[in-house]
Amino acid sequence: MKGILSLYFSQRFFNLLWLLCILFVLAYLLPILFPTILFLLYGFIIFSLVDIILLYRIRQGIFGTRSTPDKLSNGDENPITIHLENFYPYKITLKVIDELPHQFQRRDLVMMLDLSPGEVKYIEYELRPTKRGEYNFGALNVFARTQLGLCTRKFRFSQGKTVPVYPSYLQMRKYELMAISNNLTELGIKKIRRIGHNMEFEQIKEYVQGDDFRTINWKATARKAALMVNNYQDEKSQQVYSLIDKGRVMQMPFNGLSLLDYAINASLVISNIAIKKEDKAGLITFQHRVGTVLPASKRNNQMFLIQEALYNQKTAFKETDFSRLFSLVRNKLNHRSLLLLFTNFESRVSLDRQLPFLISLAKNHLVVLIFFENTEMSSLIEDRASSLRTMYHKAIAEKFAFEKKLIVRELASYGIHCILTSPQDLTVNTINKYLELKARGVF
Amino acid sequence: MIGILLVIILLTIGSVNTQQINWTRMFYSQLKIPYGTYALKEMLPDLFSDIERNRNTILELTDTLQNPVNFLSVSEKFEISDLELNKIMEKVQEGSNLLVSAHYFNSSMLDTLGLDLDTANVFFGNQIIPLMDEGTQSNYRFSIKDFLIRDTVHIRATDRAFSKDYFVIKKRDIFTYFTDVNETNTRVLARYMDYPILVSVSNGNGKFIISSVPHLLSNIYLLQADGYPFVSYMMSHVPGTKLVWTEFYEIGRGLSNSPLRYILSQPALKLALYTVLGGLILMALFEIKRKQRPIPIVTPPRNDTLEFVQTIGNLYFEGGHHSSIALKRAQFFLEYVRSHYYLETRKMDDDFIKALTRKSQSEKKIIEELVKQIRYINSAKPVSDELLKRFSENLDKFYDYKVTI
Repeated sequence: MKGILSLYFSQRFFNLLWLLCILFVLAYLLPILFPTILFLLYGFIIFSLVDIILLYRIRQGIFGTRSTPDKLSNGDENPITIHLENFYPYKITLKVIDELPHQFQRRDLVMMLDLSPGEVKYIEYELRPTKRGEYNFGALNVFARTQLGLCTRKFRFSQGKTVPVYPSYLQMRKYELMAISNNLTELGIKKIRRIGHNMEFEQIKEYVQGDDFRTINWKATARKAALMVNNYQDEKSQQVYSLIDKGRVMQMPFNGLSLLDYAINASLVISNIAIKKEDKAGLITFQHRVGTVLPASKRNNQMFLIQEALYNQKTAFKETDFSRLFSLVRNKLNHRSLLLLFTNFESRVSLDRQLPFLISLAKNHLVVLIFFENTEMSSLIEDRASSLRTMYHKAIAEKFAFEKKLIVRELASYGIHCILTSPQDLTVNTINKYLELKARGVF
Repeated sequence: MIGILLVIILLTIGSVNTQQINWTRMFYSQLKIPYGTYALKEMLPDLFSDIERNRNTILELTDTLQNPVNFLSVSEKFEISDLELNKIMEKVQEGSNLLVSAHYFNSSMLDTLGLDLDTANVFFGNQIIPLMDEGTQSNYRFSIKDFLIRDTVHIRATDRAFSKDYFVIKKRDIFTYFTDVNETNTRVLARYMDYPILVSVSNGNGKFIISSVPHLLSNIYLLQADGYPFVSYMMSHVPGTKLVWTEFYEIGRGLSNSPLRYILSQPALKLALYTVLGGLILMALFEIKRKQRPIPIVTPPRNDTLEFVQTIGNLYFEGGHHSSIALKRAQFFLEYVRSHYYLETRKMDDDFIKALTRKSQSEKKIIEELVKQIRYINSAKPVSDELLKRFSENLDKFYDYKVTI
């Protein structure tokens, strides 16, 4: 029964069958052909049976597995590998249909390949999830057929695997290395690479391009016959809080990923870097009321806690209440901290409503307000306007873009730092800002 | 509770419905309805040892059968062509017998046999003539009581040799009777009052036994105590042990007279048909199986910014706020100049134009015109279509796709 269920007939099989049918009609018109065509029919039946026997002779003719990472990284390309092995003593053509989690909405993941006897092949493809949560992979369907190609046998492997999609830990690792190794300049990512002008001496090291030449240690240079510079330690154990707005404004998707998920990815990266830099990282999320509060810490498992907390963020995208956030920060955060506030303002009006709270926050803490350029409008702004109506559209788009710049300027006048960034560059810009503030010793 | 009640009610109605009797006339040997002939099929083996049932015409039967046999047909109508009539006449001459029971016969056959057919008057002749004995017939006085209650009548058997001399039948089941009976070679075997309903016409060595009341052979009468003898009576007038019963004249050929018959008769076409059918069945069985699991449709979140901006733009456009729009574009332009070329834009003098030309690599003419237009726009004077268009074009030329937010 199981054998019948796994048996399929190929397109070639049916094409030949229809051809035979046409030939029989032809044989009706030309009776002399009839014996030949009858012979062909018998041959066809025999070949089909032989093909079935060839396919089912070996119980486990094809072996396949899909290997996925233990968790997927949200918003990144995650590699998935399929391993296929041929145990038949003849060449087999495979059609592979992988049942992806429904979140991807892909119905066309079909791969064709040939396997010689005993051959092992790997297929690799990449998946970019755009939502956190549980992703359920179905079976790996492999349709095998011999070179006769009349019948197909279906194998199913690796059924029902559930993989969680976590905030982008891939980015976290990538930027972690860069930030630690001070290599960000090489990639043009880090603008200010000086690691602080505190007076606490750390080490003497070789001069590399970009080091502040005011700190050159001439004595050491003379001894080594190479330029040496003094390095000073950064301030340590400062609190860095990621405040994530889970409200209505963060629902807007860019490139499939919502602003909230961009913010979550960025806070994961920045928390990791902060801890690596021996600062304390914490997390507060809020919408109409405060959600998660994870006090800043630099203990070993803090990163794990942050990751789990970020993974579990759920939201109804309600209207955000900044007053709740303000009272919480006022009560719970006793030390002056760096508050990275991820939110979004589309216009001056929406800023004006929240401005008093932001100013109050900035009295005790260093607030960095992070909000987003609307890159969807860039197509409108960058295209030429041909008609009067499109000129209007363009002017309105320019007006919105301009207003965001006004917001930055206004907030700067209250001593609130701003990052106005496209969603795609959010993480990099946030890291840069953090490193810059660290270097300037502002908090 | 209501559900259970409903189910019970439905079941009751359903069971009542199934008890309704189908009174259709269909003298077909597979039917157990009152006017079917299933009982006849079951009883005939008592009378004939060799029985063959088929759906062939008389023509086909006479062609295939060599020895004299007895033919039987029970039908609503018995209509045969002249050719068939001639054939059957020949067969009967040779010693075969034809037993036919039908309401209607075609006239050529009746003419040949020297018979004529009349329709019983359903409203008069059938209904009011009551059951009576032959002797009392003439002085019988009809009463209204008879009209109301007498619905069964007796058919008299004229052959005194038979053990039973009458058969009971409902009056309404007699539709036709014979008239003009040619006395020389015809014998009336049974009659209802004066009306013959079963006659025997001798022809050579054989006979035609013709009845105008096929009902008498149907299930309902055969299963009554008085019914069965009629079959025996009718059949007792033919010798021999072989009976060929054709049902062609009642139900026709059924399926086999379709064009498929021809296709199936040709081996090549037959195989072509079987190949197609086989292929379709294989397709239906094997190809409708899932190749992968179903994927529910999930609509991804949409970014409505463009629509929003366009709607706002259209609102302005309907209002015709040229100067406001021009001002917005001017503001963005100046901001662009400040943030990209780091130039002061408060006073746009010749130095400014020179510096901007140098830094932006744009044509000086365009920048001069832009500055002039911005001055005009800032002065809050009305802006014409022409000016807005010109200004917009100049801006586009200036940006020349270099613009970013």
